[in-house]
Amino acid sequence: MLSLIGCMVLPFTAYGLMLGLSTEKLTRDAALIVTGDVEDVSSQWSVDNKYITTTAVVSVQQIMKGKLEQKKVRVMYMGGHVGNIVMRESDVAQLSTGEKVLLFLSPDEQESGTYRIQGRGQGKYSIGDDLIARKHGFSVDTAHEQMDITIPFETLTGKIRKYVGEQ
Amino acid sequence: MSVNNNQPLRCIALLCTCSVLVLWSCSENAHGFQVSKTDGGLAIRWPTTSAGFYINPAGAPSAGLSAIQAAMQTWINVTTSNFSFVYKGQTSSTSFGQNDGSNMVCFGALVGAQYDSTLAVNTIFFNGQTGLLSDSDIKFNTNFTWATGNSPDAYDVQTIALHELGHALALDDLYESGDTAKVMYGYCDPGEIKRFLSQDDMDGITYLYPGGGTTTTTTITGSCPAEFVLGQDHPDLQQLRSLRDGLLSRSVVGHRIIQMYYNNSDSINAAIERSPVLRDAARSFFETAALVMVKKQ
Repeated sequence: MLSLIGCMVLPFTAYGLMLGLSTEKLTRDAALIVTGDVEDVSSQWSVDNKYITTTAVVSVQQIMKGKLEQKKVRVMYMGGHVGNIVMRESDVAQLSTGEKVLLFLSPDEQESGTYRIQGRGQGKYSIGDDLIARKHGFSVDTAHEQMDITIPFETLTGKIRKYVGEQ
Repeated sequence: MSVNNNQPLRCIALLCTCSVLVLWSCSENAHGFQVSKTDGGLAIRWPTTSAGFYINPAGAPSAGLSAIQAAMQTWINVTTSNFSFVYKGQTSSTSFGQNDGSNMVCFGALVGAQYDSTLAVNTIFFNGQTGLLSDSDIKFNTNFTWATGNSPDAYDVQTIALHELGHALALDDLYESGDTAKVMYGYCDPGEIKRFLSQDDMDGITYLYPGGGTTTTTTITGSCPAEFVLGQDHPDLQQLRSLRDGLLSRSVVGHRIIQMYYNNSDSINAAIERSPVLRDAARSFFETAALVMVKKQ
């Protein structure tokens, strides 16, 4: 039954394999940590027409680490849906319009003003109406670090503030 | 005499068991495997029963090429599925993650902060309307240590290749504590060796690509209780046949349900004939099963 429920609530994704990242490491490595609402999501083919990327615009409510000149942040990730063709890359966090999120971000190395999600699926929490932060849709080696997969939002932000303060 | 008295109870127990199993069988993730789906809920799969992969062994550890081929062969060896990975030869191409219709496995450094913790990546392209795959690539991140022997500090190429090829088949990861022995379990540790498929892994490939073996043929011998209860011209019979042939027959568990149903059909019919309550229960069961199939379609 749990599998069935899990299947219903998890986004459809593809999977690879990653090292598990703790909240402390995500906080330490991210240049920008924000909470906000996903306003818009659009996918497009690359210039050479060989792969698909998706750009999401997130309306920022709170900046927990880093600086941002605008109230919105552009987040890019691999994969998406253009016409009838869908590309999925393993462990990528997908964003949905209207979704409340907490994101660990790093600047995109090729496109100024655009950010990538740190640790891919691990760097995105979806915040539910129950104020529980959840992340999923990736496979990890958990031998290295203790992860916070499902955690009360307040507890998560408290941990992040603590780690930011220690830096 | 006592046999006759127990027959209705046995029949009810069997119908209840069938109900549970049919509902269980209708949810493929409850089998112990999970398939990738389109946003519309269609299972993603290859349009044919084979997919060719090139391998670029540059950057792989010694015997990395044969380790990947061995992983391909392990999936091919599943006798209840007719799917085949085809090794198309070595390539020097590094066109990972591109929709070029050429599937490949390669080794190389994954560049970018978002890949810092990533051991291996799998990309797939498919038609969002039909779920049919057109391209799948796998890349092992050489920023990590890979091995083909039994190195406790390195990741085993064959183990991870077997897992990633499962994704190339459109099987998803599993995370429950009872899934740890499965190749499609979503967690892996350095030094972990898992080069054989579990029954659930085999059921997964069989669900997506059934056939090819000797265990997929179901011999129907008994009379059909559904026909007995509903009548031979009832419209629900077609849905029930679709349930049998289009869904249940595509999995090992489903085959067992079909066999159990027909092997006990004479006993079921005899019990139903004697008990109006049982007849109503059976009718209700068959109508519900047909409804499940209608919703599934």
